[in-house]
Amino acid sequence: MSRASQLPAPATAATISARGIVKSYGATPALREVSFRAEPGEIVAITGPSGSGKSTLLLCLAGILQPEAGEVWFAGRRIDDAGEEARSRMRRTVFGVLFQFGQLVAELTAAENVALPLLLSGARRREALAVARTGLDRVGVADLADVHPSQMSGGQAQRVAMARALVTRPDVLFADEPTGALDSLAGEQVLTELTRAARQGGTTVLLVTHEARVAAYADRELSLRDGVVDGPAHEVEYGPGR
Amino acid sequence: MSERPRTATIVWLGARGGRADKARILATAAVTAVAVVGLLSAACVAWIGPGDGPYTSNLLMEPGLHPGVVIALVLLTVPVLALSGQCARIGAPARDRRLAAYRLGGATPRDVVRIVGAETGLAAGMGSVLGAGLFLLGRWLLDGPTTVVGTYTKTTIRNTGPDSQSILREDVVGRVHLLPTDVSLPWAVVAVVAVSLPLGTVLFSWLALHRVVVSPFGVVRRADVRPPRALPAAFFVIGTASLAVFSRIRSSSGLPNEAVPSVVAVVVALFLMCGVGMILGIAAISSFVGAFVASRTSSPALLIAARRLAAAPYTSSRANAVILLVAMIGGATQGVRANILVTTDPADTFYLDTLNLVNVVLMIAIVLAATGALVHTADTVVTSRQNLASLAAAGVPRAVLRRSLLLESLLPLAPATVLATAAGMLAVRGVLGTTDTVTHGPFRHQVIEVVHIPIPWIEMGILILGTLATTALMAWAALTFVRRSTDPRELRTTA
Ligand SMILES: Nc1ncnc2c1ncn2[C@@H]1O[C@H](COP(=O)(O)OP(=O)(O)OP(=O)(O)O)[C@@H](O)[C@H]1O
Ligand SMILES: [Mg+2]
Repeated sequence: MSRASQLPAPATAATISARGIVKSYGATPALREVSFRAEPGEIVAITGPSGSGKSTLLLCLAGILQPEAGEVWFAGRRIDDAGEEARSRMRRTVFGVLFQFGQLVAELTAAENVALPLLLSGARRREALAVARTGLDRVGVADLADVHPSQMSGGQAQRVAMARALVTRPDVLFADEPTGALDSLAGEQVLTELTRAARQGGTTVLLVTHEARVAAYADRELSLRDGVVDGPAHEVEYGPGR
Repeated sequence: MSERPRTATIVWLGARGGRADKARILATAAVTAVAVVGLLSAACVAWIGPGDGPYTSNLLMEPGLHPGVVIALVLLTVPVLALSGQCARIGAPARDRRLAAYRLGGATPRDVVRIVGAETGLAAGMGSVLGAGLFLLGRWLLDGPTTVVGTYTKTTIRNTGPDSQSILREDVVGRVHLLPTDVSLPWAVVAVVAVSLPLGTVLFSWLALHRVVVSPFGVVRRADVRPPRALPAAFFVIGTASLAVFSRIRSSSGLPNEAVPSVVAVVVALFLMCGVGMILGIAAISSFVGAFVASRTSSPALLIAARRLAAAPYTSSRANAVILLVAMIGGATQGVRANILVTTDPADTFYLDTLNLVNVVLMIAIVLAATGALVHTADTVVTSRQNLASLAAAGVPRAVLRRSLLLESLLPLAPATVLATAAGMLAVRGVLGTTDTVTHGPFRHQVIEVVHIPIPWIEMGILILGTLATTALMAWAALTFVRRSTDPRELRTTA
């Protein structure tokens, strides 16, 4: 992040922001000039009806999708125009991602799955696995360390995925309906763990959900409708066209 | 912590697969081992020197025949390498899912390339070491009683001295070998073969990866999405028909044929059109045959097979293309055989021996090519086991599923094999002619006779039926996986 100082920084360290993001899938517009900003340590719920562009916004912010127009900034540095290699590397160091289901590698055990980002960053196997076990312990599934994802319940797999998303102590955690496939009790437990871990580590959490109950865990809410921000004006940090 | 994963991590992630991934690694290793043995054998023949031998076979004794033997052995590795490409596709869907999951876990595109390279390199490297080891071991073991079929004594008597009366007798005692196990092959050659094959395999897998995008959400293949185009298949059919018409016109003229360059050029062009059209067009043939049969049959097995063919015409096209290529070469060799049998002295067994040997090589090539069908069918069964399990759960008998899988491989192959062998044979007739001249009788009273070269119907029939039967047998062998794959528990499978 040494080049950050040379750039006109719209925000300080570990702040993630977006301005004027446009993204469409073929002819379908998914995002039409969305601007947004989260301060370090904030937990923001991204809400809105189905198809409003929540997932698309999250994927653009996390650098998995590239917007057609607009900018994404993280820690004073523009990230949306970085190459695929650089964006992948960010996702395993300063970001964590958590989806509804199906993100674990079926062939690896829970501990190996959690250790994966560390291993990919050059850690030694033994150290990475030790850190992974601590991470599993923190979310209450230490006993699953040697179990494969296919033998876990949905809630267990989701906790393992959460441990993986948090194992690098990321600055930002992107979570897309992380409890969408769980019953309310299991969902409740996962969310409690998630917010606790995030608050402890000072991690920013962007939490996509369509449930008010889930949004209640957040500090504030950003609501989308038809690809544009549908909330009170004070939540819009950068207006379109600036 | 450095930014990039350690090599140990890359290798570990490459080797860390499920059942299908292990099968792919083992199959790739086995096939590479066979290819290494084949190429080292070819090198051995190429390195036969004046001091080596003697051997029982004329092919090894005549230095003039060595290049032919070497080429035949090298050509045999072509279906082997094609098989290796087939093996690389075993369990591809599961591997794609795993690679996408790695990406989601933070692997960069370059990491994925290195992981795939590590896996392929590991498999091919293991195979290469195994193959070189087997070759050297075999050479050492065989250079004993089994391949030393006898001994000989070469006696040279020279009269020396001024009066030419003193006699010098030299006896050389040697051993007669069946195989060139006595040739000393330079270590550098062994090393070059053992290193270059796995390197080539890794390079090939790297090139193949360039055609796909491994994203965190899955693998997008750039090919395989468009429907097969009919044009190449039309080239194949029209080219074969033109060769047949051409051959008919020539034989009806009744005159001895001569290889006029312009005629040869036309025939070669038509033949190339057939070959390229066949390789590129087999998917369209699959799709057409599938759609044609599906709308007419009332047999459940045939219907399932035809629907699957029409829906996924590309899946079997690699394996089929190799089989057809061998069938085409086989057709050409039968054409050459028919010509030689008519135009040479039947008392001279040399030609017949050589032709029989060529047929043996052809048989091996057919088996190798059909092994691709085995690999493909086994892979189909394993990767579509969820589908098969749901059909079985819905009450479709396993026998019907087995029959439909067999038919799936034979339906497009049957007409295409007939065309391919015909194209090969007709191309040879186009170049060598449908008639030739033979001279008989004593010196000065020779008679020149114009003979017709017969169409080798029987050989062609054997070739076509043999190819199809071998393929069916191989596909049938692969069906042993059906029982396990139709287990209702497979309905829950994820990988
Ligand atoms: N891969 C895709 N290809 C084509 N269109 C897509 C794709 N993904 C999303 N869309 C479209 O983009 C729009 C926004 O989709 P998005 O997934 O961001 O919505 P969402 O708010 O996450 O909805 P949900 O609550 O149902 O998950 C929708 O109209 C959707 O149909
Ligand atoms: Mg969504």
